[in-house]
Amino acid sequence: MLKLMVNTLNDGEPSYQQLFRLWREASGDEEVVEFDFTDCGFLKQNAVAFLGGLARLIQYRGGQVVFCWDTLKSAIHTNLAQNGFIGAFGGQLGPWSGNSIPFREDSTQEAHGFEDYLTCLWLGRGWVNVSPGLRDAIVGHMAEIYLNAFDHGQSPIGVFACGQHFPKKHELNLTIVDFGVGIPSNVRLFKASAFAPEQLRAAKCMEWAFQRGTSTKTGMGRGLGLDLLQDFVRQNGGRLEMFSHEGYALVAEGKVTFAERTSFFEGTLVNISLRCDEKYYCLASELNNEPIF
Amino acid sequence: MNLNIQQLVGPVCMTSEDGEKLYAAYRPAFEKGETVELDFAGTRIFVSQFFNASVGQLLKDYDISEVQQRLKILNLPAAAIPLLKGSVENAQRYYRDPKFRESLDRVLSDQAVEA
Repeated sequence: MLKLMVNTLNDGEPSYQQLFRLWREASGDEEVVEFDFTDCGFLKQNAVAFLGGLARLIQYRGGQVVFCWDTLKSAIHTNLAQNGFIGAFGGQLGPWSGNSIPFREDSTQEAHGFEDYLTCLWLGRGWVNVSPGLRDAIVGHMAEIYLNAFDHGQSPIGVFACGQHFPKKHELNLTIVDFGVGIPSNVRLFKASAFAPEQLRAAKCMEWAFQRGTSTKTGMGRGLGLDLLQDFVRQNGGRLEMFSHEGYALVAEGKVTFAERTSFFEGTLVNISLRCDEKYYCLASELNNEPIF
Repeated sequence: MNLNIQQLVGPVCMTSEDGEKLYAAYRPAFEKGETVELDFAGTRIFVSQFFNASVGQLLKDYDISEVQQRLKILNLPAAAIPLLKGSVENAQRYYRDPKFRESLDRVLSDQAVEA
């Protein structure tokens, strides 16, 4: 049996290192893997989505997953019940609405269901003041990330998502993660004719994928569909980050940066954090159409 | 020919399956030399995958100038225009640039082997 100690997990670099360490530790062929939360003081939405996916990955490989629910601190237990995580893994409490955006797992692509999830449970709940047009445009771009994960990611277990609204911090967060081959894999394959694959470091692969119109998918371009998302995150003062292999992309404080991290995760994780402020956000084209009075 | 997209696939234009459905609906008329109007009134959410299947693949058999002349896009929300433009530009590149097409096809075939 393998016991995985889940520590306090936020959305900073040390927490991602811990998450990816858990993924490495669970990559063997243990028959039983136990998640112990004794040392866990907090589980942010990125950790919830990731741990859910990791549990399914272990099960896919034939292992049995045991969550030690009795080791959860009361507040974390309540949150995991509220977002449906406990219910998804055999617990008895069902989700209810509140500040959670439910834990969601799609083993197969469910485009319209995911669009409903984004529109009705994430961005359409009034926590960020966006016009209907901008809401739909952002939802479209997040849906493209989701669809790309199925088309490019080759994950055997699908895609996982979870979100959370933090009213006191004025923050609305959403994480989408897959346990597939990762962005650098596909970029290296595409670029193999021009460059030796080992020359293409993960950060460079991420930078290439962020460019407009690039795609490794046969036929047509899709890229990562992030142009409008990047612009909105900049305007909002929020944060958009993406992890794949050692590659890391961050949209924050008005700029996009790419970096090579020291820890490796084969899949792809996207985390978007929006500020819930008093501003009203809309498309420039909507401003032109607004009546004067 | 005039097609109302919302009536055909609904207000959300996301999947390649829906894109193929739209393409199949107008392709025969386009082949006959008709002008085809795609009316997007009432549609809301767009993903490149839909445009790739519904419009992009037309570039396989037709030159961009002919497509511009005979495929009319009506009432497309402004936020969707860059997506459609990107889809058409990438389709042009794929169908006109053998090296680009070869690189993309290699990715697909390698993924198929691994699967």
